[in-house]
Amino acid sequence: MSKTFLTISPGANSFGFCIADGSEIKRIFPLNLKGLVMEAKEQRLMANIRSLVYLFQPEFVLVEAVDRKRKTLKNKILLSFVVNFCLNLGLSVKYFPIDQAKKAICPEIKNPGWQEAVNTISRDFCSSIVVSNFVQKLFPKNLKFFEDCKGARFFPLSDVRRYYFPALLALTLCLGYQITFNEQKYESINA
Amino acid sequence: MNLSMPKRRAPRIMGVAFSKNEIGLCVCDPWQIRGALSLSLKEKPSSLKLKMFAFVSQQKPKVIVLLQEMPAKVESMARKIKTIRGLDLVRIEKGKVLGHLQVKSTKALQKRIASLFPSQAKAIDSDASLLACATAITCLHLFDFPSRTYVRPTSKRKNKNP
Repeated sequence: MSKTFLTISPGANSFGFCIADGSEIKRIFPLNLKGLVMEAKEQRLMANIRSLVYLFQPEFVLVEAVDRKRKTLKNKILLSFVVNFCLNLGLSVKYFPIDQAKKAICPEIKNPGWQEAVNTISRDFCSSIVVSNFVQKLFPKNLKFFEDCKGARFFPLSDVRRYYFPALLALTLCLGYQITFNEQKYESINA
Repeated sequence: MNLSMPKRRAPRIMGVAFSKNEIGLCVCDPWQIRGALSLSLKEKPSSLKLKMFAFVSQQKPKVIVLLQEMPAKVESMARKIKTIRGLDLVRIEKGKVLGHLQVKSTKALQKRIASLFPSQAKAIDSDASLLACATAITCLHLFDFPSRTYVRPTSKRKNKNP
């Protein structure tokens, strides 16, 4: 049986969460923290992570490894807070960079300047057909992933709002991690 | 506004690599390159040892990662640091490092590390420390290391009048 894991990706004013195991993306959602004071942000994060852990019982937490100097001070503090909270809940924390995940999803893009291009058009990249194809191939149970936008569980990637972005990054990170550490599956998809 | 930084519990790893008569040392955590150092093998062994110990005590890594096929001199120093500072020692192949970062040669590493750490990659100047940085980052992504723990300071006052 494959492991369930929780992916967390920080944004400027929001956090993205994605819960998946080897066969299914169970939940993706953004958490908008804009306009809240730090204590309220911490409380919101704690409540969300705690409820996710009780609901899905993930075996580990995958956190985006970021160059922290690119992020704001508040963001760094929140990310450290999230890691410490997960460790206190007894979960192991793994780190994976978003660039590596993007590269695992898109290995065919090899020109040197592609990284800058991806960073500037990240929103387009996340909502692009590349990611949607991978979701459908890696997680066959989510074949109707992009059409299933009626419930609160999933949101349509075509309707990308600003605070959805970290959730999309969490999805990208989750996919990139799956591809990197599950090469046989990836090869079978390519074949 | 008063903001306090939570304690950093992410693992801190030191990569050790060797290239063109230079030893490269680099300490990374998942979010930051903490420090990098390159030392020439032509230096006296005693000064090499002192510099390495000073670097380790400044950066406080918990694990040392060595590339396979290192010169005996470097290996013995890494082992000394390991035993004296009580660190773990891990070995990894160079091919695995380059494969994980999806680069074919050490030259391409510069761009790859610059894409991972855009604001800090300029600090790394030599090939050896670049390779050391790549080694540490790869191990951070591939292996599970225990998170750092902080021991509460206890009072060391001795009761002089029992």
